[in-house]
Amino acid sequence: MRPRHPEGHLSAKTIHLSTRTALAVALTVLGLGSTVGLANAQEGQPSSWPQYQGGPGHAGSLEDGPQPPFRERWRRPAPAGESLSPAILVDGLAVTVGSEAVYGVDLGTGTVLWELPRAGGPLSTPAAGSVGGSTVVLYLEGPQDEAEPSPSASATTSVSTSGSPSPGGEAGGLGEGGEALSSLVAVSLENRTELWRIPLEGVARSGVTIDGTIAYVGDQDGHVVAVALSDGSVIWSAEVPGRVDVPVAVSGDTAYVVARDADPPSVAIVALDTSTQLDEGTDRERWKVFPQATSTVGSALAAGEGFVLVGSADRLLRSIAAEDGTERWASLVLSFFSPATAPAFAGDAVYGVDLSGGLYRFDAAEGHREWSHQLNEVVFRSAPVVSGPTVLLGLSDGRLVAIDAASGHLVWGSEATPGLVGTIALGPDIVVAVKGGKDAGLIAFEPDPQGTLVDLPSPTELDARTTLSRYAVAAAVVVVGALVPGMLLRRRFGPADLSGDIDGEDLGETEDEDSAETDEEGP
Amino acid sequence: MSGKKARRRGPAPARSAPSRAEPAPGPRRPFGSALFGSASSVMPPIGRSLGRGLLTVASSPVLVVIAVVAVPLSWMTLLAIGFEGSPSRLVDVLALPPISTYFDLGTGASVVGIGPAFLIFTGVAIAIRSVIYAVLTGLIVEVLEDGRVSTYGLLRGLSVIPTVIVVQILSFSLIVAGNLVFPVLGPGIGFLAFVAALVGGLFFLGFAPTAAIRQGRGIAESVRRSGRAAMLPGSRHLIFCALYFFIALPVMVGLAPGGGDITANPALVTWIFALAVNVLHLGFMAALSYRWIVAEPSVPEAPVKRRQPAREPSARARGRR
Repeated sequence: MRPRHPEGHLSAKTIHLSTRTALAVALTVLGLGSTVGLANAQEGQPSSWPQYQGGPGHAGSLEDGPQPPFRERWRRPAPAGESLSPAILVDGLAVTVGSEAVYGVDLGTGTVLWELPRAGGPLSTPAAGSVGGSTVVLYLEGPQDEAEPSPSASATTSVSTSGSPSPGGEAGGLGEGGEALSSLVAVSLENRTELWRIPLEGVARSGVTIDGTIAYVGDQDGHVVAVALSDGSVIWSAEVPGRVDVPVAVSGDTAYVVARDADPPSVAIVALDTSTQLDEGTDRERWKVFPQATSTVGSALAAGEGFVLVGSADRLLRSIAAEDGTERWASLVLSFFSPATAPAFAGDAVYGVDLSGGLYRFDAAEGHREWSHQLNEVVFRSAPVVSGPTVLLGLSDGRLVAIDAASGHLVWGSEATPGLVGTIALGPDIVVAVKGGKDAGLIAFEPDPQGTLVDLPSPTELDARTTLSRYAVAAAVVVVGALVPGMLLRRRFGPADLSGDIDGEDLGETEDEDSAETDEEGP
Repeated sequence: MSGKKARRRGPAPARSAPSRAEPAPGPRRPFGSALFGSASSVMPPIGRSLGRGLLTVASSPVLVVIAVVAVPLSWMTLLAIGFEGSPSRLVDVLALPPISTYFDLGTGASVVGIGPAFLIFTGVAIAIRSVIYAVLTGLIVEVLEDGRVSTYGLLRGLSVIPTVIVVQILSFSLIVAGNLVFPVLGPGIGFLAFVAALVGGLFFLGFAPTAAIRQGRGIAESVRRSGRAAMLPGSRHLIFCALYFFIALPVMVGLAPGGGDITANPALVTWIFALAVNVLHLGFMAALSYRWIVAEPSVPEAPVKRRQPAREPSARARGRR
């Protein structure tokens, strides 16, 4: 049942907003969300949602996030008419990356306050960190056209641990074969001046992850680099067995990387030691696991609380022990995981969404499925985010939906709009999501005091009375519809002729038909 | 039709004396005539087979009620074991193997994933489905023979459960082998080969339960005779099987109201559609039985050896001479 018009739904059980608020407060008091808000707790993180899925571990949760019902605050089509990357929320701005520019969008009005020219390249999530009390935004740039070298590309060929960043330098580098490469760029949020940029060893589309004072980036050639936020110097680099096209997740002193290899198809989860004390050239790989073979499909990672979460092509959401890479549990979902989604976790619960729109809550310790809610809509570019006692998700039909984290019931859903609702960023009183489709860009929602909540269980919960009554009517229709003509025709044609006399009349067929077949044979 | 009493006292006597002589070797037929044959055949035409099959089911309240009851029972059972999926699957509850096997494998993978539990699920599904398929075949054969159903038909059906289990296992093996082998051929040809394998499974195995019921022969012989009947010249049995496959999978699943929506509460139209399609499955099942019964006396006892006819010398060769 699709609650496209929640207020008008006959079976919807309306809940007073005050009840929902009280529930939220109670849950908070009880400490059920004691570990949510990881993003805020990170030192050096300047805002509520400074990177993909909130924090370096990509937990995708905000303890005091906004609560439904929501209303649309603003919608901002991409200024240059193209798609935008997932947004991060920093210092009252939504920062997003377009093909030709990086935009700073006012969270209150949706107005583009500033834009920085960008020399093309794949769109990926930027990240914000704090250096010396001021906010720094990092993003990936170039190559302008992956097939052609960028006109402004530098001739730098590789990154070394003694690499020297070049403030105001070129848009990208060139590889040894002359192919265009990407750059990692840092700008000051205060005055939008470029602080530094470093060329990478390949084309990068992973987005940027910041943990404290170090930024992490992976590229399509399997390189992972750790860069000092302060000056762009490369602290270390490592190689992993496949392309890195989703954000690196960092928890404690370990960076977790999804490496996809097309030949043979495989996905590896690699744990890299992020310690700065290791000698140059020391192998940083702590462990490496291949959750499934023969496919490159799988979600991005979420890491923290001693585990790493990943969705695999075998439809299993896996929890991997952060310490040694052993599998803690694996729970089945209904369909595959999109590479553009990621699990989320908060408190003692883990959330995952599959491609067909099934949202699941699992027990973080044992992996038991606590509930599922089938939304019957493709989820390709969105990942669940936990906003206090509510889980938010964007759908391909352009809806943002809110599911109660405790019951798994849908409590609110926006109107369907052209173009998908993708990756979500949470602020204390705002939800910003990337928007796809014809008018791709960003869309923002805010709590609506006049709005109404609903209480819709998953359509996979059996409503015995409805189902049986429908079945009874259907059975009567089919029984009558089959038996009445069947009896009449039986009277007309009589019993079956089993003699094998094909020239005999049965079911109205005549000799002509069969003799026509005989004629086809010829002499 | 006659001979009601004689049939009710034991299995059909076809083993000892076919009522018609085996066909004398005729002129050589072109390659493939057994599959796509356009020649006259002892097997009834497709249209008549389907008409008689549907009429057999639609005129039997017991068979219609079985179809109508089996579908919700399957649905409730699946929900009870944790199935989450589209009710459009209900259209293949009473499908013939290997399509039913395909349905079971998909359901098993959805419920328990791929692992040891999947094999257990498949084994249980094969066992349950074999009982249902055997009983239904027994009842259908009885309706075709006597125009009614009774405990006799039920018992005849139960007596061929081993044969039906073998048919189900062969269907399962066919699908597993197809999944392992045909991907090597690439996505396009591999898919076509897989579809051909499914159609081939129905083609060669489709008559086996009816053959076992009618002739009371062993498992291997029933399966062999099923294959021989399918290869009878001019039977157009391959077209029959391909038609069934096309209707049962892409058409019926694709046309199912509600599409791929995942719900535990099918809509009214979904129920009507699913129930009607399962009656149709029984109609195809009855059509197969009807075709077998009509062609039974002509099914050869031993494989027919293909004669190698003398080749006509080519014009070039004649010229040389």
